[in-house]
Amino acid sequence: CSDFGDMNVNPNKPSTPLTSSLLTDAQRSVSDVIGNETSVLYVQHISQKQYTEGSRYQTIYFNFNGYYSGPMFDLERIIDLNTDEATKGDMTAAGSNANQIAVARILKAYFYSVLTDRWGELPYTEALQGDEDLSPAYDTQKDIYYSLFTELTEAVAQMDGGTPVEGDFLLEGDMEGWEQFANSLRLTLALRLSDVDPAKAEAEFVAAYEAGILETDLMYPYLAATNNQNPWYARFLTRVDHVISSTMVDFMKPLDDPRLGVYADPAAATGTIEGMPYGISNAVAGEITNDEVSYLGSTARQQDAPLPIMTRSQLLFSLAEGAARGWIDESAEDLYYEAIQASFEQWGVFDQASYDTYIAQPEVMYDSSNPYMSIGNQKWAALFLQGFEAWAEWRRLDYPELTPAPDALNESGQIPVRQAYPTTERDLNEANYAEAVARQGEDGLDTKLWWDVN
Amino acid sequence: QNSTVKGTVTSAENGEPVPGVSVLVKGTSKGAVTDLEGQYSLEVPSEGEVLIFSFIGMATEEVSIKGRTVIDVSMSSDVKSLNEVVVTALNVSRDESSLGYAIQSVDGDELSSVREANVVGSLAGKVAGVQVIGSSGAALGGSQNIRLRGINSLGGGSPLFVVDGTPISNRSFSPDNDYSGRDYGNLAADINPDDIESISVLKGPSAAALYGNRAANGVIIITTKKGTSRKGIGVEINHSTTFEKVYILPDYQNEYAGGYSQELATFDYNPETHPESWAAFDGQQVMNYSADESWGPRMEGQMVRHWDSWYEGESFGELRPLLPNENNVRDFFETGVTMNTGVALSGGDEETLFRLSLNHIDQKGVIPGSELLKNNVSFNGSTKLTDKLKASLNFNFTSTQGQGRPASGYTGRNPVNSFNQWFQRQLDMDRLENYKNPDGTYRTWNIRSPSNTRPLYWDNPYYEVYENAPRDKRDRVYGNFGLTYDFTEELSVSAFARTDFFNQKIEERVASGGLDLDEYYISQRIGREDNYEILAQYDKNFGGVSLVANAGGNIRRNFYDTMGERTQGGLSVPDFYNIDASIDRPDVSNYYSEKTVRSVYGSVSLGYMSTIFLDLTARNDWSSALPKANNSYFYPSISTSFVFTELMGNTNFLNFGKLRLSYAQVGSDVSAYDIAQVYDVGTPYGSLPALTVPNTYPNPNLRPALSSSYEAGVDLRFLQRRLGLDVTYYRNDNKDQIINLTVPGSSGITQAKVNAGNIRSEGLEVMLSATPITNQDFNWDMTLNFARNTNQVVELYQDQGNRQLQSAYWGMTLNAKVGEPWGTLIGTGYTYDEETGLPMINPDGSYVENQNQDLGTVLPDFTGGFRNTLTYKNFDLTAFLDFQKGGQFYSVTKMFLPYSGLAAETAGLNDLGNPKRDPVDQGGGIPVTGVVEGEGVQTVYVDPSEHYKGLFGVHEEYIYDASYVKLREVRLGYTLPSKLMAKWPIHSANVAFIAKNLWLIHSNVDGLDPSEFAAGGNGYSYFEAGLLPGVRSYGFNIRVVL
Repeated sequence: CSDFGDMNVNPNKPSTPLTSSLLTDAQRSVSDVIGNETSVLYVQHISQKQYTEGSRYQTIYFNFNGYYSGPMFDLERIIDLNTDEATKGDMTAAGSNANQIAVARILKAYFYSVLTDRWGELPYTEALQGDEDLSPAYDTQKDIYYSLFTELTEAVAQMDGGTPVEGDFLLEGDMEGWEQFANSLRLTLALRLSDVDPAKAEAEFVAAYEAGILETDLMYPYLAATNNQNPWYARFLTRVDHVISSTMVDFMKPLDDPRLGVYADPAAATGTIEGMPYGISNAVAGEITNDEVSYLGSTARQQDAPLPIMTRSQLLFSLAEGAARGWIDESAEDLYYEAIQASFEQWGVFDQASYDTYIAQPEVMYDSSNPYMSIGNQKWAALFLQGFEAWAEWRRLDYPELTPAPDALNESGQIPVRQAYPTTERDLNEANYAEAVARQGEDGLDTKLWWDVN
Repeated sequence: QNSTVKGTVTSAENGEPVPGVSVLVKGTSKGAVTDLEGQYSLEVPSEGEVLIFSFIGMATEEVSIKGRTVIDVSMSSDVKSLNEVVVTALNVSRDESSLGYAIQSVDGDELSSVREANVVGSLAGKVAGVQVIGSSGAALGGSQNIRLRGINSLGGGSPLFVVDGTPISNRSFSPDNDYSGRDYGNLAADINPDDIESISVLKGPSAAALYGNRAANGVIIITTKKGTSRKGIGVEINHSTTFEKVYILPDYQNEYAGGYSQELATFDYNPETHPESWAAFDGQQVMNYSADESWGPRMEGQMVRHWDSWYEGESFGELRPLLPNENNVRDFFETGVTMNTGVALSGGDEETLFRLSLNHIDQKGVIPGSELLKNNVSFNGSTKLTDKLKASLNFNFTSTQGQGRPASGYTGRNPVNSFNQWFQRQLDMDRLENYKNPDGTYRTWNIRSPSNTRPLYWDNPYYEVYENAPRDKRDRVYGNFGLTYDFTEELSVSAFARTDFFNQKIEERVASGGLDLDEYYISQRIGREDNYEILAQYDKNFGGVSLVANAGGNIRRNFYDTMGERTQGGLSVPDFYNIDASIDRPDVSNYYSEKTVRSVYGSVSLGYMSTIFLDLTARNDWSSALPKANNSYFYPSISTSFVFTELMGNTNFLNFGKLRLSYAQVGSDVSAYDIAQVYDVGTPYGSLPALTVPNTYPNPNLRPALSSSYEAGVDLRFLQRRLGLDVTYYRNDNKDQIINLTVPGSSGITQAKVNAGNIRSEGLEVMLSATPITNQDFNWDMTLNFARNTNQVVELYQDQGNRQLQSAYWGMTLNAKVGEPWGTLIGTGYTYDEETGLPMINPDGSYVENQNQDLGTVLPDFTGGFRNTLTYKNFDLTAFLDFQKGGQFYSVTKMFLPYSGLAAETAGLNDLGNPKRDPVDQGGGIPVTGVVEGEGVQTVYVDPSEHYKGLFGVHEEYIYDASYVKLREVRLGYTLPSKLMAKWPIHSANVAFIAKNLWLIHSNVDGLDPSEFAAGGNGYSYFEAGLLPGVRSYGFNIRVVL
């Protein structure tokens, strides 16, 4: 009576994994990071048109579960399958074991870096163990950062020149590109520690720089197809919610910044770029008509318009800062201008004459007495739509000086400097959650991260 | 002097002759029995004055002879005595007095008195312990959810439906949680209520142990009508026409129009961007078309440009007064019409019996464009092939076709969601109804601006219902074929092959040219269950000891096949609805599953002197879905009953009394394919396939779950059985359930399949029946049932204290929390000041919020029904009330209705006598009283818009209890006098006025019907958003027996 043969073998889903496909799936989740809306609102690149709660910090709890159970667990599985003696031999069609592991480690580190800059402490060492650990403890942000440096360093070291990885639409199996991306990420993370742990910051920064960083923009290549389309395109399909903020317009318009014409479209009623006041109530926002304001630029939201993951401009600003700090022996000023040029190029508006005019303006010129202000302001403008990076750098540099939403809905009324853990952690991982909160501070939007000391 | 009395006995229900009725001269032993044609002839001694007509299942009639020689009698069925023979597990009929567990029967006539088309809906309030969560009549055949004895498992759970021994699916094709979607109904609606002879409800596992693991939540056993042995062919025609009208709608304000400011805007002509011809419009007053809220200008007849004046056509450029349209929402709905016609043919002789019935339902819904057609054929036949061998066939076919079934929940597809949450109060439905421009493009009120008439958030509601109408089609076959061989009078063996099969096709569309990308979706779901059953029955009396023994085996096979395809990136040819039209790679999926459960089971019932009975059952199942090592599970039950009145002799007061006691276990397994690691196929990137590790971890070590149930009851009949009381107490412990445990996502998985938990439910069910008056002309029966269920989550997994079952809008969650009833709502509440009990407020009058508060449970405190049936001569009147106390739910409609300034309470005067919407510094505003930190009790006037917007996400404000009292069914009938009938070839005819949902007598939530928010197939039903309005239905019914 108890033998049912193969009846319970699932015909609907494969039981053998393809690591190349696991990598493709994990890479698709990069889009969730770089297409994020909330962070773009926090840094006031964009204002909301009618329902403005997002730009007034209404949401406190944000969910990280999908990152762990989605791309990060896929990447963990790639590492496992390429490590386990029983399976590693079957996996080599998707690249050498070492290369696959290296790429998975780099991408996993990327996700962790984004997550820790949002929430701070995170389940890390004990995370991603599946049912072997259903209540992972939290690691401090410092430990996470230190571990990420190690991960990135080891991943680069372990690449073996063997078969490149398959399923890699971000870098198309360019292992040198992965190396540069890993070093660039390490450099970016190193700079994040500039205020809190300058020695470590400098050491990692210099090592990463010397190892070789990205020479070109790393963009997420969206496709002209629904399932892989630019998220801003998707947001504009049925609604018109995202308007260039007056914060942005007030900064760029007086400088006649050529990027503004790409960042936003002219307002229907006036034919000029008009910003939308940031963070005002629904009632006030509702009274501004749709014709009077400038929506997010239509070239930036084509269905297949790529979005930046990490740009040359951003890295040049970081190098400029490294130079200003005396960590590397380069001219901070030159790097600063190169960074602006790279940004113009990234947005397709570079021509020598207008660039020269632009950087000659006193507001733009590198101010060696306060390099962090120059870099902070210009990096913010260059990181348009790179919400999480812009938000992290704003928190670290405290430039540009942003005014919180006048009609803020959070209790402090301040721009969030952190996001709160998903409520599932409080309910399901109670003891570890409580421990992390006790160590880190109240689980809200106003608790500063470890590296955010100023 | 003897005389001869003759006559015919007919059934009061259908006018058919009743054979086998015993006719006795009162006080003598003289008697006769009616023949096949219901006729009798009897010698009556001179002292005889009264004849007694009696027949099992019918009310005994006493008739005075008064010198007559012809006495025709019409006998009616006796519900009280009918209850005494009930159909139990394995389709075995038993004398109720022998049963040691609660079972409640409902007669077919009682179910179909107002022609409710869904058998689940017709059970509402009629059986103690059954809670029906209905759906609005506007949903046109929407799902009706049923819970028996509350919730017994962490995942909800609904009872098993069995028709003539065949288990049938009651799957629901509706959105899993009320977010949004369309409700295509529950599958039990395929049963034709006119075919139902009776329904037995086995409430606990004790009665259900023999149905296997799916019976843990009870069993609804449906017995259909069979043919009777009679002369000629009986023909029964049953027709009803009913009209449906929208009944319950929220109260709207009718003072202020759409917009965000009381100031009207002015049109500024700009020669750069506007056509030259618009120059004349400069300075005209315009509305805020892009607003989907009504905080706008006061409607005082001022001349403005309405939305339609920006579309080319008659009203282009027109200025019209700004005036309220108080009934605009009600005007949208139409009068629904349902025509339900049934014809049944039946007949038979000593060897062969048959009944064939046809039913046709044609329904036009209250939502414009919604239609439902249903056709049903059923056949029941049996024949004796030899003296010992009998063959029987039961066959049912139902075909259902829907068009334009309305969307439910929080979606732009649902116009009600707009009317009650995002709308402009001045809008005129007559103008909206003209939703197409001459060039075929669509018009809507919510345009982006005068120069851009593309919809901003909302398409025209008429575009939604007419252009985006879905279609669905379902074919359903179920039935059985059986052979029974009587070896001896005591021993018989029967074998049955049973099947239940459905093929459900659903097509949805989004028309080209609306707000959303055009789309076409088609899905097909094919479900099938086959059962092969063999059963030996032994029934013998040894002196005072009776023995009934059954032994059997069953093989159950379940198959489920689905396919779904959805276009992506729009349609290549506008309004061409085919997957071929998909611009991008369409989303396609298919799924197949198969599962087998093999079972052996047996039962023994022993009775002693009709006084003490003992029942033992045992069952062992083997499931293909469980790990090989753990795939066998055994579960027993024991029950006993003691008819103590048998020992008391005859008393005039207490006629019958019985005690019951039982204990049972039911085991359960898992779905197919839950135990092995597989990978999910993700969305590919271009030509690169994607795979992902599933979020639910498989568990190869699962064990079968077991629930245990204890039950005790007493059944008493008093005063010639005119008063009856039945009380049951039960307790279920549902342990080791197989659940998808929600785990911290940081583990890499979000759910683990584990054996976990214990939910204990305890309850009391009371059934009171009475016949206060009964005489020749007038009869009054009443039944009251009442059930109270309390429920506690005793244990979850390891030391886990809470399990989130689902999350609704904006952070409201449904939970199983240790120490509390299943279904705890957790959300944001107020912060209360301990001293005064008042809410804490901020100096600006906004509330101090308090996250993660327990806001009550969704399970009701008690439910019940009250039925009165009166017959006076040829008239009959039935009135049926049902009620529920408690059961919390979260209303998104009630949150956004005031948020967007549509609700009545957002307008009018405040307690100072000033318009609430006037500026606060000029005496306007809504007073908010609360405790301000450090300042004590304060009353602050808050601008209504700010006040209600500030309540967004304060769930506590919008938690309601779903208590209600409802006059659910009314029937007033008249049976045409038989004298009149004699002239036509008609045996009997009854005409009736019928009404459903006639009156929501009491509810704690205005503007919504809390008994109608079923929209999820899983029975959670804990919140609503965009709930369809309550619908009242009334009409007439004609029943004719030829």
